[in-house]
This record gives sequence, structure tokens and C-alpha cells, in this order.
Amino acid sequence: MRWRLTCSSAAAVVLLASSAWALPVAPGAFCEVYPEAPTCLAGLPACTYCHAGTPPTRNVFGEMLEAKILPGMARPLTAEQFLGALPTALAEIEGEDADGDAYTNGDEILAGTFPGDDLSRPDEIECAGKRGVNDQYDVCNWDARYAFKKVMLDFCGRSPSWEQMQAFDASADPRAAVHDQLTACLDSDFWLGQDGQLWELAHKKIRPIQAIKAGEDGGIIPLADYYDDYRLYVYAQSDDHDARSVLTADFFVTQRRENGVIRYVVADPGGQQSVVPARRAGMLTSRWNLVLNVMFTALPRTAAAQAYRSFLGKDIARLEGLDPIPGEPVDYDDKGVQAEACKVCHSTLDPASYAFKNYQGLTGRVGSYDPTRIEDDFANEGENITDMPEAGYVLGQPVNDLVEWAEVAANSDAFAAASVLEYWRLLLGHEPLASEQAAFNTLWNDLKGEHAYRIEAMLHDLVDTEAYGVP
Amino acid sequence: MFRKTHALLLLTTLCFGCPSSELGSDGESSRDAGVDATRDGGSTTEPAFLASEKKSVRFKRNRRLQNDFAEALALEPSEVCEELGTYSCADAIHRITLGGVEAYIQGLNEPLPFTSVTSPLAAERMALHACRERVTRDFESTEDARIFGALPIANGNLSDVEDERVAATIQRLYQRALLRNPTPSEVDHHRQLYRDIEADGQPNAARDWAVLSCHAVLTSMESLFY
Repeated sequence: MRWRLTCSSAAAVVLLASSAWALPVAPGAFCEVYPEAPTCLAGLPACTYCHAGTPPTRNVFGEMLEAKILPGMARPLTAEQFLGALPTALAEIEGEDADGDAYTNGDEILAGTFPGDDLSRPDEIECAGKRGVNDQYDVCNWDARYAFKKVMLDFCGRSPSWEQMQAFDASADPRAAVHDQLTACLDSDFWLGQDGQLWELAHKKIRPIQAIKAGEDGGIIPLADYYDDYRLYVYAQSDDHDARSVLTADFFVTQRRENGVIRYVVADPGGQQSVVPARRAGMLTSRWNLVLNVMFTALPRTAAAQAYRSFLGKDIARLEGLDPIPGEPVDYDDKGVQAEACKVCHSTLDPASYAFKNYQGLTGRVGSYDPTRIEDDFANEGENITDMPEAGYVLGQPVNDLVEWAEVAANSDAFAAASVLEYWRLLLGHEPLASEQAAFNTLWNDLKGEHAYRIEAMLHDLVDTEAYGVP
Repeated sequence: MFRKTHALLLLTTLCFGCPSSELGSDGESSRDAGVDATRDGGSTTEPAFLASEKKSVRFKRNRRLQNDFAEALALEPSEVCEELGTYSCADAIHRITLGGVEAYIQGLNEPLPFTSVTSPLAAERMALHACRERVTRDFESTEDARIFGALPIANGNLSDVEDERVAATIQRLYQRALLRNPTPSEVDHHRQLYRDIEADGQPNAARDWAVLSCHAVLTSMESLFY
């Protein structure tokens, strides 16, 4: 299959940037040309789309593109020159194959694969519409029997018994039986319980360290109890709860067993949490997150970077999610981040970090909100440190404080897409393939829309996809 | 005995571990041969499965393996495998090897992206532990037996490997472990396995066969992956 590339949108590129620093605006300009490209649907492509490692080093696609942008003109180009020439250059190389994988750059851009990576290719499933001849599986269509067994393993942690399979085979509506089983499994200990699947999903976000855990199962230097974080995360992912609670909750959660099923319910954390409710932003302001990611820093860049990575699917260290803010970084803490090599990321990261500045890590009253934190504890961190604002930016949007930061993030496309991607990876074991992009995009759009951020409703839809149910 | 048992383990793995439909005469995969290919070494006894174009199977990892072995063999998960009779194979000793995580102390927040070189050994070890436990229970008390209680045994041997009760036992094993009935060729393979064991002159050929048949089924791709 080949995709016919239309280039009419190329003319839509707007010469909006006045910065002489061209590279960080390239992803946005790319998406002006290809708004329908999968990589543009939930954000912007990472710099690695064209670059190998840290810019300006380019991958083969970037090199091919660069050669077509105003050839012969002295480098570096201004932002205006770069943006003006980009659409034409992209159009010129659409029919070529930079990575030599037999798919044109244009095909790969629209398929959602990487035109600079010969191992990333559009996949072509040939059997759509056929019925696979196989007495165990229908390998060309959504197979209820296969989906039933898979649901049991993925969500209940075990295969069905022979008797359960026989009962399933006798069911009048196999698809409904699959969903009934899914509903039951979503209440299983394997899914909900401590060290269950949802807890495992939270590990990367929480990054627990038992040695400094407080409370139950505490370590030798008890600083904070990350079980509060796990419980809030699982709460947000289960029942009819709003997944955005991981970023917006002003409450904490406890767990108890009701009729044999673990339930996560809103409750007072019992003095472990020090941030006043009006300043809480879900897991961002938990004592554990502040202890681990703010620690002793005046400008908590790690806290912002970890939030981007965990909840927005953007790893700034990998040049993902860059939305440079004009005039940034100011370098309030005198760390030298205005150096050219640092600006690439810090023009996004620093303004994303300002909102964390009044949250105590391991200074002052641990894990609390303190409006004079910088003046009290970090006055010597830099000449202009006390000028650092609490207002900043997230995803390129201005915010006044961390509560607003969290709301903007939680309502973003990036959050919805990242939330669904977690489950896609967990249940399918891979990133969405080119042929699966449409289903993936529908899932996260519906999570935001008709499902009102209820993860369990999204999971029912995910199980119905061909990606999940076709063997 | 121990060494011979291991040799037989290898044999059973070779016999049952790779679906014959995927191997052509040259030993290369013939997955793409589709419905025109044949199973059972080309003897045209059964049609080949139409292969999935997605080719996506996933290792069950530690906890699912433990739960599935327990379900198949009517054991509690904690009875499936304990090293030195104390340490859980799935939750402790072979946890990481079998795809588990240990976030709190070791900082392993995600499973290893690939199975390690010792993953097959750990999976086989779990299967062997569990199979020996089931066979021991079934042979000790046929009244409470779940799988191997109805075998025709005389002096430690099967009195007749062609006996219907042998086929019924194999069928029960496949139903519990793989959620399907065995094919005729699979039943034949298990019967041939018994003949090989008996020919080796072991004193408890029936018991060895039960353990190894169980092991062969539990360590098949169909059992370990989904």
C-alpha cells in the first residue's frame, strides 16, 4: 500500500517566529505542513525525528532535508529563512527514501514511522476482510475466543480454566462475555492490588526507594510514604474515577477490602502529607515526589522534567516536548543554562519548573508549600534568584502556579495520549504501529470526550480494537 | 536416574517444544506457508494452521506462569515451585529472570525488555517442580487425583500404553494446560515418549512418563506465551 501525499497544507506554514534560533521551531513548522501525520496528532515530533542525538547532528532524513533548504545560502539560517524554505524542502524529498527501507519519506511521515530509521517501516496487513483458516484462531478478524483468553491473562493474571472456556464457547454473545470478564478482572487483585498491574505502571512515575520510605514497610531513613502516591495513582485509574486526578487531586486515598474486592477511597493521609489542600496538585505535590525530585534545589528542574516524562509522555532530556519560551532561560539560579547547548532544552524546562519553586523538598518543612522558600533557604543561589517567578509555562501555555500547571497538563492532548499509551504498551507490548494509529488516536480522543477520563471505559474500547483482538 | 531424566527432558523439549508445523524439512520456519503446508513432519495428517500476520506473542512472565501452572495442575500458586522448599520461584528466586520487577530495593521499575539466557531454565524448573508435585499427589492417592489417577499401572510401568485411559489422561492434561484437546499426533508423541522411557529400563517408567509429559506440555510455546 502506498499513501498519496497531498501537499496543499504546505502553503499553510506561517512565518511566525522572530527568534534567530531556528531549530526548536522546526517541529511546530513540520506539523503545519503535515497536520495529519500521526506524530503531530498528540503533540509535536521530537527533535530526533530529524536529528541524531543532540542537534545539530542530523540523521539521514535530516541530512536529506537540510540539503534542500536554501542550498548555497550561508549558514546558520535565520528562523525566517528556515521556516520559509522548510515546506518546499519537505515536498522535494517526499518521494525519496532517506533511510533506504523501500518506503518513501512521504509514506513514512503519514504512516507514523520514522523516515530516518530503516527499522521503522509502515506495516502492511494483507488479510483484512478475509477469514483465517485455523481451527484455533481467526487470525484475520477480531477473535472473541482469543480476546477472552487474553483478557483473563492481562487483567486477571491467569488463563481461564477448561470449564470457563466451555462456558464461554456456549455463550450466546461472545463479545459481551469478553466484556463481562473484563469488568470482573478489573476488580481483581492482579489488576488493582499492591504490586498488581496498576502498581507496576506507577513504578516509573514514583521511583520508590524502600530505604527512605516512611510508614508501613518503612526504611532506615523514613522521609516520605510513597504508598500514598501508589494509592492515588490506582484510584485515578480504576472504577469511574477521573484519570486526571493524578495531577489535580487535592485529596489522598486509602485502600480497603469490600466484599473481597480492593477499593481505593478518598481519605485523610493521616499527617503524612504537608501541602495544604489549596496548593495540592495530585502526585506532583505528594511528600514523596517533593522529597525525591525537589530535594535541595532552588529551581526544581527535576520535578518538572519527571512530571513531563511521567504524565505527558515527553522526555525533555530526549528533546521531546520542547516548547521554547521567548526570553528563556533567564538562569535565575546562575547555572549557566544560557549556553547555546543548554538553551535547547532549558528554554522549555526552566519556565516549566518555576511553578515548583515554593514547594519544599528536603529543606524547611519537608514536603510543604512555603511562599518564602527561596528567600529563606536559597538567597545565595544566584544574584537574581529572588526574582524568580512562581508563574511559568507548561506545554507552551502560561500558568500562574503549580495548581494551574497541573490543570493545563491534565487537560492536554498530551496527557490523554500518554495515558492511553501506557496501557497500549502494557497490553500489546509495543508502540502503536502505523496501521494502529487511527485506533490509538480514537482511544485517547474518546478518553477525553465520551469517557470523561475514565480509564476502565477506555480499556473496554481498547479490548475491542483489532490491535488487541486479532491474533 | 537424574542424568537420564534430564536427557529425556531435552528429548521431550525437542519433541514437543517446537510445533512441527513451523519446521520444514530443512529445519527452517515455514510459518508463511499458510494453509498449504502440512503438520506432523510433512505426513499430511493434519492441515497446518494459518499463521498470524501479526506474529505477536508475549511471554507470560512470572506471576501469570505461576498462576497458570497452578490452575492447570490443581495446585495453589504457592505450591507450584519453591527453591529449597522455602523460596518462591516466581516471587523471589527467579522473579527477575521470569520477567518480574523489583522496584523498591533494586530499582527495577520495568521488566527486562527481553527474556534472559536463564529464563528458559527458570521456566522449565518451575514446570518440573509443579509437575512432580501433581504426579506425586496423583500417584499417592488416586481417589483425589486430578490428572494422572486413572493410568493402567503395573509394577511401575503402564500395562498398555495404547489403553484408552492413557489417551484420556493426555486429553485431561491438554484441556487443563492448553485449553484444547490434543491432536492425534500429539497423543502419539506422548505414547512414543513412554515407549522410549520404558526402553531405557527405568524402575518407575509410568511416573517418569507422567512427569515428563506434563513438563513437555507446560513448557511448550503455547503454554509459556500468549
